[in-house]
Amino acid sequence: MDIKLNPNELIKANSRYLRGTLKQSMADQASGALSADDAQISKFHGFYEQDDRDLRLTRQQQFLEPYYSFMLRARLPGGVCTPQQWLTIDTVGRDLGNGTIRLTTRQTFQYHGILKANLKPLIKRINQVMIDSIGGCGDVNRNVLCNPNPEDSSLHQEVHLWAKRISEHLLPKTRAYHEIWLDGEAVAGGETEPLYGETYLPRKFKTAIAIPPHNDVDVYTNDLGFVAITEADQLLGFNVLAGGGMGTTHEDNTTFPRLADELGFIPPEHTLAVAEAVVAVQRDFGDRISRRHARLKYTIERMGVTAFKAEVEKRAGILFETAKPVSFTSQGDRYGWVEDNRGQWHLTLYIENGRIADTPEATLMSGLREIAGIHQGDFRITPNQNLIVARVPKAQKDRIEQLARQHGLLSDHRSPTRLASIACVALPTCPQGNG
Amino acid sequence: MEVAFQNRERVPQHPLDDLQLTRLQQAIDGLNSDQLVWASGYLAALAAYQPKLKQAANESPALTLLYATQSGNARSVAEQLADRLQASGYAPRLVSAENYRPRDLSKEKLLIVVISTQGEGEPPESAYGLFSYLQGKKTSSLSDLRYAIFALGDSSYDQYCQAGKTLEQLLDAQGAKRLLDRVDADVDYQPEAENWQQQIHSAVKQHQPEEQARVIPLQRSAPVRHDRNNPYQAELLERRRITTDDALSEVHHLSLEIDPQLIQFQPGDALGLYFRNDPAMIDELLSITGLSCEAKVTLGDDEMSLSRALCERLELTQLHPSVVRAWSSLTDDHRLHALSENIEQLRKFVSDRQLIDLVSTFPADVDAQGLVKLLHHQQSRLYSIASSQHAIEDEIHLTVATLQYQSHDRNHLGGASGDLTRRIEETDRVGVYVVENPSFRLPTSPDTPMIMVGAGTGIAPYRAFLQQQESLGVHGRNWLVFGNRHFHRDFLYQTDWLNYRKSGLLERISLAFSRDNQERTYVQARLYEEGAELYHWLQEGAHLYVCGGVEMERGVYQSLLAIAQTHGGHDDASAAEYIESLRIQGRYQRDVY
Ligand SMILES: Cc1cc2nc3c(=O)[nH]c(=O)nc-3n(C[C@H](O)[C@H](O)[C@H](O)COP(=O)(O)OP(=O)(O)OC[C@H]3O[C@@H](n4cnc5c(N)ncnc54)[C@H](O)[C@@H]3O)c2cc1C
Ligand SMILES: Cc1cc2nc3c(=O)[nH]c(=O)nc-3n(C[C@H](O)[C@H](O)[C@H](O)COP(=O)(O)O)c2cc1C
Repeated sequence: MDIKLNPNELIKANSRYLRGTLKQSMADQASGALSADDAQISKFHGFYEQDDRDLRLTRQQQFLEPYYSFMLRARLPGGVCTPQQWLTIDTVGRDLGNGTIRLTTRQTFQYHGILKANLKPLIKRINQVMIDSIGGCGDVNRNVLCNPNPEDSSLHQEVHLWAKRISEHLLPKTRAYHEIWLDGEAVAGGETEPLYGETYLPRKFKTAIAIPPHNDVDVYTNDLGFVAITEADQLLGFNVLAGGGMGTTHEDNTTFPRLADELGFIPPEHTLAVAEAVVAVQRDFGDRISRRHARLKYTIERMGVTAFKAEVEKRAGILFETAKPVSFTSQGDRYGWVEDNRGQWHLTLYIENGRIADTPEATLMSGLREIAGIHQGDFRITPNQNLIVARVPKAQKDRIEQLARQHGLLSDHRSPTRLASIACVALPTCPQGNG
Repeated sequence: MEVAFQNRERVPQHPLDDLQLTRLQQAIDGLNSDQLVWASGYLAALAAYQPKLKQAANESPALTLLYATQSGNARSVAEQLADRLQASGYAPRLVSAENYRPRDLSKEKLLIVVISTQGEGEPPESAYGLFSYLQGKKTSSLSDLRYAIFALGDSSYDQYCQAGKTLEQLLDAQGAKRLLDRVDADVDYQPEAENWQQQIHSAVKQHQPEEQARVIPLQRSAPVRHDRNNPYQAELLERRRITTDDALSEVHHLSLEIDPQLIQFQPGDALGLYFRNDPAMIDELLSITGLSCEAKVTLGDDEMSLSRALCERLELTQLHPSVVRAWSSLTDDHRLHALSENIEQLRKFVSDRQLIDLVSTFPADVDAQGLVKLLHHQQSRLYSIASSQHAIEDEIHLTVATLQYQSHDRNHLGGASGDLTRRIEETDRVGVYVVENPSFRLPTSPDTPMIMVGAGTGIAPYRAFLQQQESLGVHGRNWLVFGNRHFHRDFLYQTDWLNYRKSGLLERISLAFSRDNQERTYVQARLYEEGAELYHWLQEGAHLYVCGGVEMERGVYQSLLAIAQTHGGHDDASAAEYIESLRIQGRYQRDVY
């Protein structure tokens, strides 16, 4: 058996906390690509290098390197953003991306077709409206999902706050991102990465929060899941789940899909400690030889759930209580208008494949821009790549609906199959579809 | 140097030292008189072809033939004249301007110059030293000198034959006297050259009686030379477009097969070539004029069909003012008559027209031979060679941009570039010859740093430079500065440069893609930005090369002036002197078209 450390582990270890030689790679005008190692490190900063495979051969014969561009994924816990943020997201996509925005199943958005020279201005501009892309694609905690829950706005707000806290708590502590993209001052030395260490996690790590009876986030398929337990609109705490993940490697039957195990119930104040402990156990026990077997689900399979749970309890300094009974009755978005218990309205728009663009058929991108221009609530990206115009006062409902119809965001003729379709972004440029 | 022996006993006064004389006598010992005669011609030819071998510094030549050429026309006229003079027993010194020491002017008695005009009224690169010497303060009186100038040019340029004119003024200013008045010759210079050579011949006779000449000439026995009059038929091995479909310019990479025994070239040289005109355009010409493609015409000594003459031998895509005038005389069109009278307007008229535009707008009656007579012979076109013979012995690579433009309701294609990039196919043959470019050369010492600046197809010779250094395995620090429109679309030979950078051959690559962002950055701006580094390289002895369009070259020159001021502490005047000194040292070399 081959027991060599996966090469990515060395790249991470040598990267000086995710700096690599990204600055040099960015300054090199002669190539649209990053150095091979930097192309790995860049994922921690939220972007992937891609090249259009259909063009490779032609370009090779033209003495041209492959057509490199970048896909950048933002960090947007629970998929919530303000109309002001949306306006920036839109402008940046037009100016510095390929003119489209892609909503993902991890409740965030991606830009495609970003040229190397545009990466830094792009990152700077989204950061100006408090959106970053840290950990967008690397071996760290990814964007934290949270049920968008349009019917129950106050509960959503409280739980969403936890999604944000978890996301921030599990961010890498390195200043690399600020140094490279935001012209932050270089750290003199003595930097550490208390949670992740210098090799970060063996693999990506996904976290989600569900609010029963809705399971839009598919909480059992995440590495770490929290199921909100509520009583009369009050959050009592979470049932904690671990070790889910549906991905398999084709024709390798040592890989398998797996649903998460229930570890038990915790009150809200233990949330961050438990999240951190689960990450730490995965950091120490995860497989660093085979990336195929590096997700938490395999770690738990190897350790056994009992041992794993004990290790988490030890590190978090807590004991899990017995999980509370929950039942999920719905999964998937409810299109159209719903009214919540406070009399606010929410409009769920079906966005095919999450693709927001202006096309000859429909001007979805411009439509959303116009809505953002007048909207006073927030936007929520759903785990089904759709978009909710949330918290609309009754007075504005008609105006927003009118704009949505005008731009093809809303129509009465939709086939049910089309609505159920969630396609992975399987472009020729995308090596692994959606992450 | 005069080398002439009629018999061994009566050796004339000679410039050889004793040892050389002994060796020479040993070498010719035992030759019969025919053999001696042959040897004398052989040595004379050697002398004519190897200017460097000749002329001890303090010796005053009887007759010097100086040429300054870019594409070889001036050289071939000068060579013909040398042949002719030798045939009548003279031993002229034939020398290219860059091998000529301007100080020697004061020692000359008879100086005959053939010079073309380049740029906008500028002399060829090789004559810069001569011109700046004559314009400078250090010149001495040339009152002992008689000279004649044959100026090559093209009357479709504003500054027609300007370099010849300027040279005449400069020589006159120093008191030189004329052997003959200057002759200006247009694109079809051959008849004019013929005339002039005869006049020179008789004028030289008057000033230097034949008794003085002691060389008995023989036919030159040099190997077959492929030149403009005897092109080599090279086969097209490969052609591919190297800019993307959405690029603003269409550029192709061509590879031609050559016999390395017959065709030799150095990095920096260009390839002259002949092409076939567009058959569709010829059909249209024939149909407008009502002439038959089969009509027999004579071109010089050759007889051929009209369509073949139009296709292979005549100039159809560069419209010359003299052609418009000749055409005008065939019509009653007063607009055309008026135009023919006004050279300014005529130049403007021809600048964006081809023969087809003229013929279709102003129909006239013409017979086949009449048409052939009024047209110019096809001029060969030049392309920088983009490969090194040391690396690839039997191929020549070219980088050709398709010239296409819309004017007068018609889509126009350049003659040569249209043929090379759109019409010829693999295995077709192209008539080619090498045009040496001694003023655009790799440094003699391989560890000299090089800064290579090129825009568009101006990058081509650097591929030859670096291929050569790669295959020789020796190089210094190299810096490439390239400009074009879009990084993703027309970064010519990108993967070559990236490989050279990986292997260490290229240290630095600077780029300016003008349409990738709002600011429209060009190479000259990039150079200025990196001026501190550039000046530093120059201080380290770097050679600076510039290749590409005239506009770019001018911009680069301005940047260099600014850099010399900002980073070298020069003022206006001393900055220009600094750059001039680089040029004189051969450290600022340009290939501009
Ligand atoms: C030393 C040297 C090196 C060279 N190296 C290269 C090289 O490496 N690669 C390369 O591609 N070329 C190179 N050239 C240029 C090349 O020789 C030709 O001039 C070029 O390819 C055009 O020739 P053509 O026969 O296609 O066009 P022609 O048939 O000669 O047509 C040219 C005429 O078209 C007209 N014209 C041109 N542009 C326009 C316009 N925009 N609008 C209206 N009318 C216009 C003008 O009247 C012009 O005289 C070099 C030239 C020199 C002197
Ligand atoms: C880039 C370029 C610029 C030229 N500029 C002029 C000019 O300003 N005036 C002129 O009379 N001829 C000009 N010519 C025409 C040449 O002088 C003419 O073609 C001549 O025959 C070239 O001779 P050579 O091969 O010896 O250099 C120019 C030619 C080229 C290629």
